[in-house]
Amino acid sequence: MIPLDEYAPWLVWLIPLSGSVLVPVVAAVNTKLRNWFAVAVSFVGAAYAVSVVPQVFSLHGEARDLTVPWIPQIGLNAGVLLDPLSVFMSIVASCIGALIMLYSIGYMAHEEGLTRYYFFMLLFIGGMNGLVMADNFLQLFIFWEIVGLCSYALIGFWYKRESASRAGIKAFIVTKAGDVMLLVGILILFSQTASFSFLDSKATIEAGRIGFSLLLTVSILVFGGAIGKSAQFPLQVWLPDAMEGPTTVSALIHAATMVKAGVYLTARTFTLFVGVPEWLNTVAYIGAITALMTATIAIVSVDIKRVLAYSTISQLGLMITALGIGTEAGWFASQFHVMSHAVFKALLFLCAGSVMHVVGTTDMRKMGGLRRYMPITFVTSLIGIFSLSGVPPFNGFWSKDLIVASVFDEHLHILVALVFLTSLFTAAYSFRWLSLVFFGKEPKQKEGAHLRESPYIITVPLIILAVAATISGFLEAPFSKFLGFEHEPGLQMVPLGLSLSALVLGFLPIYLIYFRRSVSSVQLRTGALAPIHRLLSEGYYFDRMYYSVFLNGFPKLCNRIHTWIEIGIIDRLNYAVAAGAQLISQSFRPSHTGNLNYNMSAVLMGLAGFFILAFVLVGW
Amino acid sequence: MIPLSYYLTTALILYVVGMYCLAVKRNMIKLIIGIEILANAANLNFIAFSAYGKPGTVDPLGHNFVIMSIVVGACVVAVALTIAVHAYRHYKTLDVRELRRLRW
Repeated sequence: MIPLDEYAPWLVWLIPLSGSVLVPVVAAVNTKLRNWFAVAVSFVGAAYAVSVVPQVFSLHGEARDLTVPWIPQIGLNAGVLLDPLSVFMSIVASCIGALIMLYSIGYMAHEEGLTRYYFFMLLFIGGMNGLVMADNFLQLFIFWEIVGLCSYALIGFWYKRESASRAGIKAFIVTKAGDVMLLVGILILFSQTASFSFLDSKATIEAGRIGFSLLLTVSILVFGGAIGKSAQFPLQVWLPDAMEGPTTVSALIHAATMVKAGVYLTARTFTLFVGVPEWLNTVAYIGAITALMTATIAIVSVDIKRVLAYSTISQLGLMITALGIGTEAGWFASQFHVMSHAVFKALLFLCAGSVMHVVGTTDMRKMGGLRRYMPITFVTSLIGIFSLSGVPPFNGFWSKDLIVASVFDEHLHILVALVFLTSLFTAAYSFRWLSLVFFGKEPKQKEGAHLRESPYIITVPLIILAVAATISGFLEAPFSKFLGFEHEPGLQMVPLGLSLSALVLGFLPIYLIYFRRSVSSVQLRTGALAPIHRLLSEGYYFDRMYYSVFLNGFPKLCNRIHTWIEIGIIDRLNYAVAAGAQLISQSFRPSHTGNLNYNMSAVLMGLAGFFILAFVLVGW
Repeated sequence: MIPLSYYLTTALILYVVGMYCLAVKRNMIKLIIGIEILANAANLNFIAFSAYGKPGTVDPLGHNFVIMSIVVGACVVAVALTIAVHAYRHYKTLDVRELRRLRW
């Protein structure tokens, strides 16, 4: 009998990858078969991911490294690392991915280019699984790039729309800035440890064989990769634009793959770099600044998906912050929040997709009152929003409380304040989203359009995810046992008070403005808060800055350099040399008569002169 | 044995004769003959040096060069005569001064 548990960690990513290659083949047979084939492959992959869990429990938090020779000539091994973190991330990626694939059947039914869609979706899931299962930096980087490529192709899925293809390119280029840093970091680390393996690197670093300044450089560079992928400050600009893709793609990117890769990388390298306090501070503060900044932007956004996009960046910021605290509790809180966020963000995105499917627009100002027409979507969204804003007993409450508690325990007061404000704004934008979409008066509908609930193929994944969001918060104890921690679930008074007061403080103004309408939102927007509103709508002018510096400024600089150096110096020198040569040749030109006899006489005279010189100098 | 300087002097005389021919004649055929004389002066030098380089032996390399040079010289004459024929057809004269207008 084949020892299945030896192969399961490989199959987790090999099945979706090989399935993706088979998609075009199956599509040639039958297009309907292709859709269900892709869904089946993703569910089989998810089943394998879950099947590894007993193995991890038997390891008690230890890592198990399975390697095979990859390029034996230079001693390079490929391998999978079986430890709680990698298995957990691959379960999240494949299970959420499988549900999203199921949802795609209904949601994407009437699109063109579905072979491409399913191919990239499976490649995306497989790439993400390969990324988290990789046991060395090189393999991780290869899958890292595969994930980047898939995000580019899927964000620009509707490539005929210029904004979509631009958004794809933007996502690719912006994350590439982080990728380059990551690659440099990996290579520096390799030059010191002579191995790409995580475990070898960890052993080398723990033995103290790498100088502190070098280790700091490497850690910051590797975190740079995470900043790019997880859309952290200052590279957060690509994720909101990524909403140009289909909603399923957004859900996949936000909940299961891509942006979680950055958090995963930070969590994976946490044990390597935990001894560098500067690294921890950078991580914590970048996370917290991102979380607060994007939470405030989400309050003014009017696009149903953009609010969720900013919310994702904000929640990722919280996870990164929790990692940056540098304690085991923080690490655990971050991973727990990864799970909660994966569930409720997938749920929210799929709800948004369901709404858009029916309403046919992404502008929240044109929605409202949908709770009467779409009861299932409404209830599931309500659960998603409760989880996101941290209402007990939904899963977001538990994980966010853990983050607040872990920050609070370390007495990092600035971070506590930032996290508190983030929670406050999170509650505000989530309830604003809910009220704009589902409450209030429904807008005037066009002739023939009628509001109704989405079909079952769309609502069933919603219900599954909603149930998961409700119960997964109680899984803290088994989850900590799974990760190999001795963690007693329990609530502390002060963090609990902070979370709940943030929730209430964030909810109250939204209740007054949007539910009660006792304060006019239009008056606020155009009145005293107009400058703030503009600042937030522009996303703190980050996009403008990047455009003016890199897209417009850089070519301008190149033009200047071209005019001054290329034309001004190099070309001018060239012309001067040429003109000088011409001048000399022109001045001697009259001596070239073209009469052979004159020329030959000159040769003879030269010969005679030579002999005379020889006679004079040497004698006969 | 005849000393080397005799050969060299003969070659020098041939060279000066060829040069004189090139310097004073205007007929293209005569110029071609002058060029051949110049080439033969050089050939004679090769032969002389190959015989006098090492006492008792003759260097075959010099003879090789000369044979090569004679072959190339024949080709040069062929091409030059062709040019002369065409120049004559074009200008109705063999005077080389007519070709001056080819100068840039």
